[in-house]
Amino acid sequence: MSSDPVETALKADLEALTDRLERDRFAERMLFKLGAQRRARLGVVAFAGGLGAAFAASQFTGVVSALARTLGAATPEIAMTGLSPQFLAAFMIAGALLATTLVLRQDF
Amino acid sequence: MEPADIELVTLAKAAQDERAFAVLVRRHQARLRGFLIRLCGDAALADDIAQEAFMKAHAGLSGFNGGGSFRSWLYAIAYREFLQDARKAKAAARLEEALRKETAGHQGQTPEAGGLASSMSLDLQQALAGLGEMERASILLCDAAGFSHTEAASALGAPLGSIKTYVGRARDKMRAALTEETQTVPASPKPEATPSQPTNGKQYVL
Repeated sequence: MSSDPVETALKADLEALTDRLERDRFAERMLFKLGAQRRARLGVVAFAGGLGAAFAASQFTGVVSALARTLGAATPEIAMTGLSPQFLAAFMIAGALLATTLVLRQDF
Repeated sequence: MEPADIELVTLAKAAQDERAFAVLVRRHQARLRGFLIRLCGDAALADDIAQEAFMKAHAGLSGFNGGGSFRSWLYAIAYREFLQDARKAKAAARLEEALRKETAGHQGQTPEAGGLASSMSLDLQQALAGLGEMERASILLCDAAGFSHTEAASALGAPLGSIKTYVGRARDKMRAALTEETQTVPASPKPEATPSQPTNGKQYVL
């Protein structure tokens, strides 16, 4: 414990001020604001993701037929792998979903 | 047992746990704001700076490497914010006004205008306002907030030796100002409170 009157006075003043500040709602307002940023970001990403998924779903049959044509014209070695156009199209969409998830998790 | 700051930071960083950061905010906000109020003399400005500091700390948590304490890292962000804000012309004007109010005394001050910034003893306020910026920040951190000299040096971005000098010089100046104040107070007549001039009714003795 210090006996310096200046230190004692400053400490007592800050303690009293801190006690008053503990009782207001600054922390709650602060955390709400922090949460709001996260919520807004999630909203934007979810909207963009939903839009992208709807677009991808609408293009699914087109992608499948395009892949079928590509696979048909491909070399026999690729055709022999047995990859169906449906599987490849689903794989592409899953890749896009994975990329969206990584962005959501802030890995990128 | 409450988790230590470093454990909460690790949780907030690794698991992106918002609750861990919320505990840190609740733990440090009042003291940080108290420090800033005493540093800049304006409660609203202090809250703005504290808010900005917490936002930046949250966004830059991955940059905290645990070399020093979390609170000195947080106060360093807040102090940089304070300096940036003080450099802006508008904020500088507010600061000057707040400091002028501090030194001008409480005569004619309404209770609403009193607020948190001026809840301090008038003598102490005047003595604190007479210090340089670094002296004030150093003595507030070391003497009021209980920082070690090393922590204060880290928070204020100054060499350890300079912090010790600032604290010593600030103590001397404040002691001299307070002694002077104590000697002059009995001689000065007590202002009479009139209905049109409300006083805050507080008498502080150091």
